[in-house]
Amino acid sequence: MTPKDFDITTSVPDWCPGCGDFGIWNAMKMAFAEMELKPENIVLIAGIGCSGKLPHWMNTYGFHGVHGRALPVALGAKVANHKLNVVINGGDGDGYGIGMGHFIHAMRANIDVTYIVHNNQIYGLTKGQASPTSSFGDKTVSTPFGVIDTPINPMTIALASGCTFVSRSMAGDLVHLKEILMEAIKHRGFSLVDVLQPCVTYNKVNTYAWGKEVTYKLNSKNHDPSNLDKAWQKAHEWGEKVPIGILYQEKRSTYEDNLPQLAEKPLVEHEIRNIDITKLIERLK
Amino acid sequence: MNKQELSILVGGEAGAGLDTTGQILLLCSSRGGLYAFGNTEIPSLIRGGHNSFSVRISSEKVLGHMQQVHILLALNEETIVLHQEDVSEDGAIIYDGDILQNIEKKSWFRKDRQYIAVPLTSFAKTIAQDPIAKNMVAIGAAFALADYDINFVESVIDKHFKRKGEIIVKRNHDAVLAGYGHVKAQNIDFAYTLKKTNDPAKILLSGNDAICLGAIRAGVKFVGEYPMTPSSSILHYMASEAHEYNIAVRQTEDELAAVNTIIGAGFAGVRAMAATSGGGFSLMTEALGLSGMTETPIVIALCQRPGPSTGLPTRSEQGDLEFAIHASQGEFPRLILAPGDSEECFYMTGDAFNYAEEYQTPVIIMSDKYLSESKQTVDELDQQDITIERGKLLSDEEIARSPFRRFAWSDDGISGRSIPGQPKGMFVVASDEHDPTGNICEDSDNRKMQMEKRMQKLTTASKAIKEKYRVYGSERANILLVSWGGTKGMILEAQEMLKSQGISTKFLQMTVILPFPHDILKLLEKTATVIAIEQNYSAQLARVIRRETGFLIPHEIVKYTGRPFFAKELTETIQHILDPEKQPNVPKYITYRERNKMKM
Ligand SMILES: Cc1ncc(C[n+]2csc(CCOP(=O)(O)OP(=O)(O)O)c2C)c(N)n1
Ligand code: SF4
Repeated sequence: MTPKDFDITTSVPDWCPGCGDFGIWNAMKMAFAEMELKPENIVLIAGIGCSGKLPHWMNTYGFHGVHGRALPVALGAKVANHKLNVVINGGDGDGYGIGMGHFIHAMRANIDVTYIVHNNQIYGLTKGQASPTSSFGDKTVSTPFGVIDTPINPMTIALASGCTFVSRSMAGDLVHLKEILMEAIKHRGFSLVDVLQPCVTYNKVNTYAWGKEVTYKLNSKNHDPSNLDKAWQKAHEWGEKVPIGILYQEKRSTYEDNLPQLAEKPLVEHEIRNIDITKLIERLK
Repeated sequence: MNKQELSILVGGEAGAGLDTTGQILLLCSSRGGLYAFGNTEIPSLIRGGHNSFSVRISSEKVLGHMQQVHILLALNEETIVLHQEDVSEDGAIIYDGDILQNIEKKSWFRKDRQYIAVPLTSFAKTIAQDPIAKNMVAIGAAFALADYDINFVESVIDKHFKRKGEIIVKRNHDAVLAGYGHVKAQNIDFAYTLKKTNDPAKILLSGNDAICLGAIRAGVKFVGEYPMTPSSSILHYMASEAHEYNIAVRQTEDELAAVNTIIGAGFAGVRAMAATSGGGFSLMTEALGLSGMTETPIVIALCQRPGPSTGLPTRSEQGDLEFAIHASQGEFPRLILAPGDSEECFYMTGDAFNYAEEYQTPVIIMSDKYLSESKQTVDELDQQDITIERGKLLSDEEIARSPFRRFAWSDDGISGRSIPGQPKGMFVVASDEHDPTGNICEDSDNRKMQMEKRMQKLTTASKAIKEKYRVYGSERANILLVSWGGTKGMILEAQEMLKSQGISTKFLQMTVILPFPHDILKLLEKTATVIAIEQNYSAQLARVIRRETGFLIPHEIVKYTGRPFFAKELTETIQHILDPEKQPNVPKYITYRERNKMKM
């Protein structure tokens, strides 16, 4: 398979030229192709934002829902048919702002899905307001005097919420991103891939150059992702030195594993004609 | 001849075991082949506060609760003060002789009432070795008065407590016998007796139980819910049957998640539902439109309680009809079903799942606390009556026949549907307006086409759904009562009461609110006196009817105290409308309005 197998012919992405979302889109197609995933078994679920449009340019199943609610939709789809590869795309506003509650609960549930956050530290689609990951002091149209909230740290939140795969990559490094995505998809359980994604139109600070300058790669020599304490330290690194790679990975039973209802076959494959409820009726007598 | 109807009201503090008491009274009746209805009135407290459970038992069909009490089981003094007014003159008040003595000296004492002292506390302590067992002693006392088959009662008790172990069974058993023996020894001649029949046991179930049974039969595979009275028992029931019937039941982090989760499950091809009350439904509104826009089937049970805001959490109202009709931005088709009793809850839930898939749109089942939580007996539930219709869910072969477009134009508004995993059925759907393939599209022609396609589904549904309302009573009656939902039982009973006074009525029960049955206009126009009856402030269905048909229902009877109507209240108000001189007053908690005399 090649990345082209996941292209659609009817339209092309309408992101601003140079937008980091292109990188995520390309890396995702590369990962899918390399993993030989069947397009019909992939469900891309997305929230609202520039990021959320991604499924429209992929030859897979896709559900582009409402702002902040992609994770619950993903949970429902995955539990209904756990044979599917469910991958979610959303922005930092979508996931860490309006959808924060779902983010935490999806991680504690440990559903086997991959969540890619296009973290551009700004609201792109609504034209440049501050986001929950905007830095303290950032001046935007909604914060002309600078952001006065402390930014969200998605890495520490993920660790504290029981996320079993916590990672970061960047849209400017296709190879790294593809590798991380493949690991994330292979991981059994909830995998978070927070992607530093330049918004070339509204964020003039967190650019490709900035990403290149501040990030360094985690590898087996400088980090042990099975060590929660070490991961916690890495999760706090931000500013001058920003780690990319897998911060933390843990084996734990998934949400689906803990539902005996799914053991035999996916719920969607159960025959629903003529379910006998005589027993239930008799019990009420 | 002794009457074959008995109304028992148990009152006490919350935490005094009233639910168990009510449940046992009900089971002793339903298993004895009698009809019964049980309703709780509880404040929103876990302990303390006054609670009551009313049970009405009869040899004939029971349609709802009853104001008059024949036996008052007063577990505390407050119960007597609050409820003796409703006890009939030939009824009895059973009280705890251990804690209340010299009652003739009490300010509430009434000469025209029969009080029977039973040592509830001491029997509970000495015989059952559990002070909570007062209620069991009281049950025994009540069945002694009603002269009910005590051996049969014993067998019901034994079965009910069996899983709690022998000791508990014996304690409860002995407590009931003690109460029974104490009253029997007094040889009281009581006007209301009950006789066990040899008929098969009846099915005893609440509206929520019936919704669950209907959903399981209809193949629900995913339930997402956040607890909220009075919908929580749906979550509990479904969770308890989840393993047996292969259903994933998730208590979500909130109602936003609940509805979005079932949308995800529906998109992936399983039948999915959520249940909630008004507050939770408020949180669901955005995603209701998401279901409409993406044409993803979902079912939501909206079990109403009085609002606004937190309102009266444990009481009943029908205040969310207009909200359900209008909830969410923009216009999209939705179906709204309004069952009126447990039996209808069962069958209409089956319908709801079919409609959701056939019309690929949200279906809302409206209930209210009184309907959701009251238990009533039903002779039979025929599961064969719930069949599975999955609409245009396409097979792999059907999809492969031509290039698949998920939102392709279709004259009936319904496009073919694929689900993830089907090789040639891939599509991406947006909550944004989209073209036939599902891609975002703002083109005017496309928008017009997609809007018309979606809205057309309501017309298609309207043609296909044959029964949208039911009419009861005499065809020629010139009085028409109009209502929906949980008021059904009390209206049917009021009709009987009126009939016995020579007043003949008919009753239009709307069971499908959307698609709206416009043909009711004929019925409205040809009846001289039309009266809307609703348990809300503004007679919401009457307003909907006016908007849809132009017909102004001139009379409105509404109640918004959070307590359901009593048939007697309705009868008196209707008599007042017909002849204000003969019946000058409207019952205390009823509001009657004459619409055509108001400026509007
Ligand atoms: C309930 C709701 N509130 C607000 C919006 C408007 N809105 C659309 S996208 C967005 C934020 C976009 O930022 P982000 O999630 O970071 O995604 P990006 O566009 O940067 O990829 C907002 C506020 C909406 N669609 N729905
Ligand atoms: S606004 Fe920013 S995030 Fe959105 S497409 Fe343009 S560059 Fe990308």
